[in-house]
Amino acid sequence: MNLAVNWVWMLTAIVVIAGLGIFCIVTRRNMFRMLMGFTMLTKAVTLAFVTGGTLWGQPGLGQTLAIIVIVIEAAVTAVGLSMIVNIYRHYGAVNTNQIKRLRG
Amino acid sequence: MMNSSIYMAQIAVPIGGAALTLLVGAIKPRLRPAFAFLVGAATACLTIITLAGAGSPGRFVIPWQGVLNEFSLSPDGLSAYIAAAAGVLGCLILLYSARYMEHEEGLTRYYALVLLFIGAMIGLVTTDNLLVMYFFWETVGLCSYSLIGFNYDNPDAAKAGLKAFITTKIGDVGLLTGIMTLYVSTGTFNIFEIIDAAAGGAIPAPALSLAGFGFLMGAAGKSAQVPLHVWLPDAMEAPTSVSALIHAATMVNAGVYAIARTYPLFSEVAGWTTAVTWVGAITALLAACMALYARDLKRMLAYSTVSQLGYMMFGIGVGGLLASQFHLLSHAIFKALLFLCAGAVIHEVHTRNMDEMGGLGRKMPVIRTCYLIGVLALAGVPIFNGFWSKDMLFASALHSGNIVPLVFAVATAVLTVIYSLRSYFRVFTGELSAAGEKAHQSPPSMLLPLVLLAVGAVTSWLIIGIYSATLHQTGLIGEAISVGHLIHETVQSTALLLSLLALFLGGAVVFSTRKAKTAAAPSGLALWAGKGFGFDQFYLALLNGAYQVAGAVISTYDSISNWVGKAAIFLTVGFGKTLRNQNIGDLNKNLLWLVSGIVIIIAIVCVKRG
Repeated sequence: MNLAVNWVWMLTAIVVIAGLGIFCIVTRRNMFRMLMGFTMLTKAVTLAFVTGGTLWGQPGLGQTLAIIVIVIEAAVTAVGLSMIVNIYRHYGAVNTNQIKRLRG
Repeated sequence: MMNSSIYMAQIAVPIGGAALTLLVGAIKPRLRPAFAFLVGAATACLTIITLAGAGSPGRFVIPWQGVLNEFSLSPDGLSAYIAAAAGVLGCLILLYSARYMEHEEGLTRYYALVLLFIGAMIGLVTTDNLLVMYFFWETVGLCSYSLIGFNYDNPDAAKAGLKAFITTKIGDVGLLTGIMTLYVSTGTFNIFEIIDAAAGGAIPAPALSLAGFGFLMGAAGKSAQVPLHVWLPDAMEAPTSVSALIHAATMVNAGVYAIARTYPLFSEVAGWTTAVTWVGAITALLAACMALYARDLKRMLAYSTVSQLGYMMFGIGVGGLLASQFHLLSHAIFKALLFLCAGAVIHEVHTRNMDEMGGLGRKMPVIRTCYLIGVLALAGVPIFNGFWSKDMLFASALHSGNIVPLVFAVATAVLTVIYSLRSYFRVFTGELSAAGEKAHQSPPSMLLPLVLLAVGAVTSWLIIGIYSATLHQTGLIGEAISVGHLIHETVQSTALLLSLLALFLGGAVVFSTRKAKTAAAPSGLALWAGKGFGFDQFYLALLNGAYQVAGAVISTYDSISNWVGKAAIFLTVGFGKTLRNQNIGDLNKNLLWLVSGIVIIIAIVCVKRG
């Protein structure tokens, strides 16, 4: 039964990818890198759906959800990118240290 | 029996008059003295009418459930005469005040307080409810405080008022303890019921003892007995008319009254009568010594009051209730006379120092005569009222066998003769002093009370027949005595020898030293007596020590709390700084907290599920 081994490896991969993504979000100051971290986090979530679906015997459902997550993530990333571009236009910076000012 | 609402009237008239004085003062300030005098006269009439029914008093009751338990008045022989003294003397003093005080500020306050004082004193003695008595007792204390500090912009007067208030308050703690103990033991505040209950053995001995000494403490405070006498000499800062009121008509009689009233209750308590006797005897002698060396005319009179009050206590202690109360009445009359004379003199010469007076007799003949009569009564010269009552005191002491206190009392009598006669010579005879150059006779409205009181000082002992009969009907003394009986007894008794001996010794000292114009500078004991035997210094040192201890305790506490405070500040500031660093708007940090929160939530869910 390869499935059990796979489950452990898959879970490890999910945790590592999610951990890297969170680490990236928390430590980076460049907004593009933070967005990358966020993307990595959603990748871990997508992987978790696929793994979960397989694990609990409903691979179709898991993969369906994974597709939905990918789509939403793409949309969110696009919105995020557009916000970063706007912020850059407004402040002339993409570093979070430099855009602390709350009033526009 | 008479209509008992008159009892209420004799309190309501002066107290209501006090309230109305404020109104009169606001509308027509010129009428204040006349109005106050009219109220005083009405009160005096009411108290005299009450005397007639004092033998078998009715009872006036307002069932006042709540604060004062029951407002009841029942003036028997003991209280009716003291009330009458308060009313009549108060009336004369109000008449005297009209001219004496005319140039003072704040007369509305003065007249209102004097009337309240008189009303409260009458209430104090006529009520038979201890709680109501305590209420009036404190009212009297309040009035004395306000009147002693009448010239409140004079720091000495303000201090003297405060001293009187605080010193008497110390005694009041004892009195209140006594009243509460009696109430707890018997469940009633009515003094007659309490006496009956005690006679039936309802009060345990320790409680009765506690109450007895509590009452003695309260009386010592009010009647200026050693060691709580220190307020009375200082109270001389008051206007002289107020001094007369405090010394003769009101205030100081309250303590003696309280002891006489509770005598049937406590006379069986072990050591109580001895304590009363000794407090009285020691007070009499010490105060007489202090009076001997006083230079201030009013201060000398104040010490003599303390000394005479000591006599009254002494009289109660040796069982001479009649003698003591009779002396109270005599003293009230001659001391009011002396004070009003002293006031008239001080009014003219503008000094209270006897060394600066002299030869005033030629300028003020009427006052000279009145003062002489007062002095002779104080010294206990035969025929004057002070002689009869003092002689009765000695006779009671002899009768009860208290020989050592009696020696004190006789020594006091010798000293009294010396200081009183000497004061007369210093003020009214000899060369006219510079201060007396401009002195002239007082106006008639000031002389009239003096003359009336002088007549009283000569004749008041003639009422002994009625007075003792009333006290007898009240059940306070065994048998009444008539005037003839009094004379007969006095002439035959050994006490007469003691009185005459005291007079002779005192007179010899006065007349032998009279020629020596310059008194020797006081030294040793005399100096000590002149300074009031160091009571004030002792209390000052005591208070000082107490303050030092309290200061040390507070400073220790302060340094401890300081450290605690510093630690608290340090912790708070540190905590605040730490917290502040978490909320500086750093996006990464916020996200870290967000993620941590999510992790915690997930952890909780996992633990719950798993």
